[in-house]
Amino acid sequence: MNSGLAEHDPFPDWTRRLAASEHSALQLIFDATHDGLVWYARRMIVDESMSKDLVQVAFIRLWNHREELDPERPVRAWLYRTVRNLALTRLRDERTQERHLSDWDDPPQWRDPGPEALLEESELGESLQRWIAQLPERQREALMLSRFEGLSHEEIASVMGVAPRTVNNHLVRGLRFLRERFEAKQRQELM
Amino acid sequence: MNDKRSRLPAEVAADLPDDIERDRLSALWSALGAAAPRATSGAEDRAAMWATIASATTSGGREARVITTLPPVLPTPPSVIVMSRARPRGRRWPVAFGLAASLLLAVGLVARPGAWEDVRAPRAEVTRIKLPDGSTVELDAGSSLRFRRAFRGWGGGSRGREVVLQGSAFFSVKPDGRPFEVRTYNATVRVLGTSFSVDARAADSGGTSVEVTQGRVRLQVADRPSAVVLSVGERSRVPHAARAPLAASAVSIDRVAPWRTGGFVALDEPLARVVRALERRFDATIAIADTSVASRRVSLYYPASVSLERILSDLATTQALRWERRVNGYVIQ
Repeated sequence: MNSGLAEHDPFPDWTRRLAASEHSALQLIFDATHDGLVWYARRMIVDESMSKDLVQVAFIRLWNHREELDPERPVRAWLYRTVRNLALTRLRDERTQERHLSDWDDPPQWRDPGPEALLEESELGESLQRWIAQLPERQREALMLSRFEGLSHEEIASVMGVAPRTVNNHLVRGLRFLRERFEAKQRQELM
Repeated sequence: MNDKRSRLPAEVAADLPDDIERDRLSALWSALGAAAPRATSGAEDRAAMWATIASATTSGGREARVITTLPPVLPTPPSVIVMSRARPRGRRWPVAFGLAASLLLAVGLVARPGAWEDVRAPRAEVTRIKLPDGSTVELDAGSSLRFRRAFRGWGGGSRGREVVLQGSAFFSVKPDGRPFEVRTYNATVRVLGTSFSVDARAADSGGTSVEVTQGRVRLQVADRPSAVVLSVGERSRVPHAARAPLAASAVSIDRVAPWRTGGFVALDEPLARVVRALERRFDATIAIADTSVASRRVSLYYPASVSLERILSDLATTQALRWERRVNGYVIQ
């Protein structure tokens, strides 16, 4: 991302411009968030093209609802929440159909990203990913949104539909679990 | 990398008992950067995604984009094979699906590969079909679909996959490099992407409606060049006897084909047509005693499972009508 210069958060300004029907603001928001949103959708829905479709729908909805947006409220959290709801609805629909015809397809479910879904840059990165995948779903989601998507506690709370306090609990618990694995590995390497 | 992200959030730090733990978790937090996901899409993907969003959110996206290539001509199918069986009353879906599936299996065993098949969903029953290429179709009550059994060279070899629809269906097309086409009495839907619903009944003269929940499709007037390309979250219609499709408009993807989950929808349709749809959906007989109300336009939307009497009651309230149940069916007056 942009290194150094911009500590300034551009989202409130973009949201105001979006609310004033400035189409270029939609593109700025899209450019800044779509990678993270697609990746987030893929964590719930394995199919990449469907994940992209959901993200597209979220942006189309964002535009359709632009006049109801509150610039004080984080638009980024709104996008993540919308993608999340769309993905959950999609998964629920698939499960409902599943009950009607048992031998139709593989049952859809929340899945781990799988080795190809995430970057395998280093052995450490690989180990960390494996441990992250072992976290309970809520802890993992909070950690991913905080560490990799850069969302604030308030934003994550709004995305996941829980209190900021709960977000913090998820994070602290998840981090402690990871720390044990992380430090054990470090000790192993020293010996 | 972004500075803000590589620092342990203040709320987490504040929750820790001492500096030692804070340092250890900060080190972990920093190391987690190595597990960050890569960018999921390349520049081309990004451009394609943005193009779809831009076309759906600017006035340009509301206009029909005309494409002037003619579709391949579908060979004339032989006479219709109609599958019929006793209709179950009520909505016992799992049983109904099971029966439909076993019937399909039976047909598969006796049918000649390459021959045309017709599958008809009985009234009051949604039927799921798995096509030879792995695509799936949910066929609404009282609708029928014609397709070829043969897996290889399906639809005449290189020309691709073709089906003929009468009624309502929701398609989930498996991409395999070949185009997939749905022909109706007055339109052709050519799939560039994956999931969409089609509604077309010649007997209703309501034209062909298409709504897209995933990917892109092209809706084209039968035997004419004018077409519209629809993206996810868009709908369009080729009205009866029209020369061009209507401009694309937005549709909420969770409102597409609500009959799949036991719901019912009618968008600004004549009461007579809505009543015919209700008859198919609930396997009931409904008469309109006062013919002057038959052409009145009504809209109904039920996302989830709903009873016929509930719909009739709502219709009566909103349209200032009365309905009653008789021995041989329902009467609206």
